[in-house]
Parts: sequence; C-alpha cells; structure tokens
Amino acid sequence: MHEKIRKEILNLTKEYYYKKFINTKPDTKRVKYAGRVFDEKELINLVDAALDFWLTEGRFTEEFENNFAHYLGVKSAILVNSGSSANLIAMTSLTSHLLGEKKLEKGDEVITAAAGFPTTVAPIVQNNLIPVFIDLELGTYNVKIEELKKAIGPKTKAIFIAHTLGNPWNIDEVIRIARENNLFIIEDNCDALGSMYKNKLTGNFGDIATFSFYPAHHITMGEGGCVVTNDEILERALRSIRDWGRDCYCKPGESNTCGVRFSKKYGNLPLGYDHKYVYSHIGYNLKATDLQAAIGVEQLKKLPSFIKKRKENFNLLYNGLLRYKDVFILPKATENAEPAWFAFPITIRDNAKFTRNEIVKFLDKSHIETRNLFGGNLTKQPAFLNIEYRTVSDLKNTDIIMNNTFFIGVYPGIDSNQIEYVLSKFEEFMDVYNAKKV
Amino acid sequence: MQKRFKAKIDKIIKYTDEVRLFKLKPLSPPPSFKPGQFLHLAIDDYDPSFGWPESRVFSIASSPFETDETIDIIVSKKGYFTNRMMSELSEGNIVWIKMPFGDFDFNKSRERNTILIAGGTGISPFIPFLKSLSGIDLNRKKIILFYGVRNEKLIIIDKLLKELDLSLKNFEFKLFVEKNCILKRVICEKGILNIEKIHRYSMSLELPIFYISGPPVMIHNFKNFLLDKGIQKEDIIIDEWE
Repeated sequence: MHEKIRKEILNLTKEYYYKKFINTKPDTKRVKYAGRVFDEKELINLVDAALDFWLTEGRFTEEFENNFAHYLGVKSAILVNSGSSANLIAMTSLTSHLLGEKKLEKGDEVITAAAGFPTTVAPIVQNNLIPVFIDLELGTYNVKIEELKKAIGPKTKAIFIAHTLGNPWNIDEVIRIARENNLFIIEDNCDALGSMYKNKLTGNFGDIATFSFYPAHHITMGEGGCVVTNDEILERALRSIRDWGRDCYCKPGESNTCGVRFSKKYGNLPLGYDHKYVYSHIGYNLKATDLQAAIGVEQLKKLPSFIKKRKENFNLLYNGLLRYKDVFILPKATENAEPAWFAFPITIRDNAKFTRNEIVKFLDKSHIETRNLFGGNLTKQPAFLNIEYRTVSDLKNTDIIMNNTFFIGVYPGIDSNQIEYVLSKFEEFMDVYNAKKV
Repeated sequence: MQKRFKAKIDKIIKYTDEVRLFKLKPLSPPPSFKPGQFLHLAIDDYDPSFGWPESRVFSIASSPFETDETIDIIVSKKGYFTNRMMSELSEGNIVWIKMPFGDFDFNKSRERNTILIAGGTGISPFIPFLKSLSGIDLNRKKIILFYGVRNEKLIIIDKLLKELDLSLKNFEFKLFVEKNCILKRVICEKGILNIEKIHRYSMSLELPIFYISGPPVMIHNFKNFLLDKGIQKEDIIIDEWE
C-alpha cells in the first residue's frame, strides 16, 4: 500500500516541477555567475530520499560514492558536507598516525597559493602547519613552477593547490617536483570537476583530491563535497576523521561490521571495549545526508552535458572579448589541459584607464553578476593577518589578481542570448571608456 | 568501494549437515574485492527506511578473478543466524550482501615465505588467494598450507590443492584429517593441526609470515604460541571473528 502512495507522490512531484519551475517565467534578465541547473529528476530523488526518512547517509550516499569514484576512475570516494570539509579532512589525513614517519607534524610546511579560496589554506593553519605561499601566472592563474621549486625547504612536506577556476596546473611539472622531493599532493579540484590534463580527469593525479557541490559548482547537492583517493591507508584516515575520529567503520545505524566489536584492546581502554566508541583520530562529524546525495546522484548523470555547455559559453565569451585583449588579460588554458571552466576570469591590464570596480559596477547595474577571484591575496585578509607563513617572492601577481581580476559566469544555466547580452554590455562599457579616452 | 546489492542463491553444495557452500549470483555489478576480505549477508529484505537488517560476516571463498561471477561463502552451522540460513535458504532465494571489508590481505606474502594455517571452514579466506597463485610468479618464495579438518567430507579444495601441487614448485600443503583419511582424494594424514610441529617446520624458512584462520580458540592458542617463540607480532596475521 505504501509503495502505491510513494509512486503517486513521486508522480505528483514531477507534475509540481513542471508547474513550478518550467511554466513559471524565469528571470532571464539577470545573468548570474553561477546557479543550480536541474530538472524533475533531482526533485524526485530528493522526495524519494525524504520518504525513506533515513536521515543520515544511506542508499543514495552509497550510490553517489560508487558512481563518482567510477566516473573519475579512482578507488574511493568519500562524501562530505562541503568542499571546505573535504579540504579539511584531506589536509588532516596527512597528519594521521597511520602514515607512520611520513605523516605531517606541527611546523611542517605546505605549499599553497594566496590567490584563492580561504578554505584551501585554513586547514593548513588549523593543523598547525605552515603555509608557504607561491605566486600564480596571470591568464592561467596557476602555479609559477620556478617559484614552486624555490619554495621547497627542509620542512616542506606537501603541496595543496587548487586548479584555479577549473584550469589545471602544469600537472607533469608539479608531480615531478613533488615526487623528487617526497611531497604529498592534494589537488583542490573543487572548481575543476570534469577538467582534463592529457586526457585524464583532474582528481587523479595527487594523493588526494577534493570536490565541492555547492550550487555554484559543476554539480550541486546544495551543500556537499567529496574526497577521493587511491590509497587505502589514506582512505581509512579520511573516513575516520570525517566520522568523529572513530576507528569503527560501520555505516549509520549498523553495528559490528568488522565482526570483532567486543574482542580487541585499543589504547589503554579495557579489553573488549565497544569498537563503536573507539577513537583513533581527532576528528569531526562532516557527513552529508542522504537527501543531499540523492540530488547528487542525478546531477552526476548530467555532468557531461554541463561540461559541454560550460565550454561552449566560455568559447563564446572568449571569441567575443578577444578584441579587448589590449586592456584585458583573457584566460588561457594550461598547455595539455582541457578545462571544464568554473567561470571566465578577466584581469584588467595596467594600461587600462578604468578600474576593476568601475567595470564591475557597470556590469552589476546591467544585471550581470561578477565575482572577485575569491580571497584575492589571502595574506591580506583579516583572518590571515596574524598567521605564520612563508613566501619566496613578493606575490606580485597575487596582488594584481587581488586588485584587477574578476570573473563572470559560464555555467550551463546561461544561454546564448544571455552571452550575447553580456558581450553587448562589454561593448557598451568599452564605447564609453573609449569615448572618455578621446 | 563497498556496496550493497541483492544476490540470488545460485547453488548450495552440502558437504555435511553442518557445512555448506553457498554460491551467490549478484543481481547488480558487485564491487571488486581482494583475497582475504569478507562480506555481510542478510537473509531479510533491506528497506532503506529502516536500515540494514541483521547480518553475519563470512569470508569470501571465491576468487575476484573467476569468470563464473558467483561470490562463494562457506557456512558452518553454529548459532541462530547460520541455523536460519540452513533452514530457510534454498537455491533461487534472494539475499542482501554488503561487501567488501577487512584487512586480512596477502600483500606481505608477496616477498616472504608464507605459512598458511587453516582450521576447518577457516580455509575460506585462503581460497581466493590460492586460486590467484595458479600459473603466476614462479620465482615467488615458498607457500605452505597447513589445513586441518574433522573429516574427509570437509576437504573443500582437494582439486585446487592437486593443481597447485603440480603446477607450482614453491607450493606445498599438508592436510590433516582428524577422524581418518581413507578416500585419499588428496594426500592427507590422520591427525590435527599441531602448532609446535608447524613452528619447527617454519624454522627452516627465512623470515616466514604466518596467516591463521579458523576457530577463535585455535587462532588464539596458535598466535600466543608463535609469539612465545619469538615470532614478531606483525608477522602473524589472523582472521578472527567473535
């Protein structure tokens, strides 16, 4: 009986979707930089998960993790509640005792970028490690390889850098340097799901990779993230740190998965202490719910079409803005890379007679959303003013990014009419600017 | 990665009233697994609204590389759940599986002399490992299996043992049958596993690694004996259950 009702509810959900989200006229005037793109299937899955009323991780989480691992071609995918949480457990896992002598310890250094998102750097600080900031190239917004080499010191143990806005770093070089110096690599892939380097998906090159499913990203769960690895020891550490730091690997609501729940001795606990309450890491609870995973299962099926649309939008913008390359540094893919662009970054050249704020305000008035490149120069953010860090240069390009870079959207919810509108507004701004110049 | 899926009982092979082999055919693609890992089997249906039903752990007794794609487990009637399995399950029934789990892996044996000690249905985790040995790596170090059963009907892998004995120069096995050894499907001797003798044999090998699987009491006693004899803790790998 309840199965029949369930079916009716799901059919009504489909009907609701068409009435609410399709037949209602959307606001096409505003060109957002990012947003969710979905159809009735995500809503149906969400309702299906809600009807299970299994409130923590369950069948949809398992399905998503398996499908995501399969898509990327990795051994393990661990769902978490955000990309920031993914970064946190990724960094923390490198301090795990399971790594023996290789584990990172207080005061060890991690090479990263200051021009980026704060929660790539925050976990380094939160784990009592020292960030070593390196500068980025303009146009690609990726690591300066020479600076990366210079940044390595006796205490440097890892590299943790994002593929900025979907553009992979020079992976061959970074991997080579890391391996020569026995450094761990974490790929912050939060903005780069679907990007490729030499025909291989990013997320496959480091020891660990992280992903975000916040609505701005390539696929969304609302709030959600994922960590992937091919290393069994790292997987164990990651899951433990995500799950309160416990040694047990039972799924929620289950017991004695290991078969030896009351038989072993851990630490100085009495023999036979319930394995469900043995903690081998200092951890958190960063799990996502099955509701989120249910949305992700359907979103993942759409990912190839999303990537295709992002690339199309990017190319239209690039071709349309090429004529302004004397005042704009336009984005450039890293050699051998095929980015699944998160957005379209533009850096205003020194010779331009307008500021970033002027053009951004103009675009905003024209209902075109823009964003700065996240934290700009993180060393200048209030939260990071008093942290211990090292640099090997004056981070000149990072400051240029902080002052002169912004991005506009390429997400699949933007159609060609809106791209045309965006280009027309750039033309309008440049006409005004050129008129002022004269 | 772990997965839950339905499986159909493809075949049940009865060795004795207490011991049966269940061949399970997954109804959706199963996850990959390593020799030595185990699964959970649930008899009752899995309703996501109410969580995973009662289940028990079983070592996976088939090879991850086998082409007939059944997942095999050897079940010994011991308590409430295994009694239910024996009385309620027939060929064609559907069960739920979640797998794979466990650290009882054979990575360390790649470069070491390896001693496998199996008591009764404790042979299960060794079966996929032994099957993976066929025809490969002839320069491998020595692998010796000491396998003890109560009676000849419980010798589950006689064909495999004969094959390996013929094809691998570094493989040896010693089979002990408690009751008697009449049929001689494979070379065996009357008796039980004796850890003292096993240890004495191992002393002729350089840095052996021991894998022990079987009844908990056997595992406990054998492990303690080896530790007392100075074998390093990390060189004794056990497959233990409550």
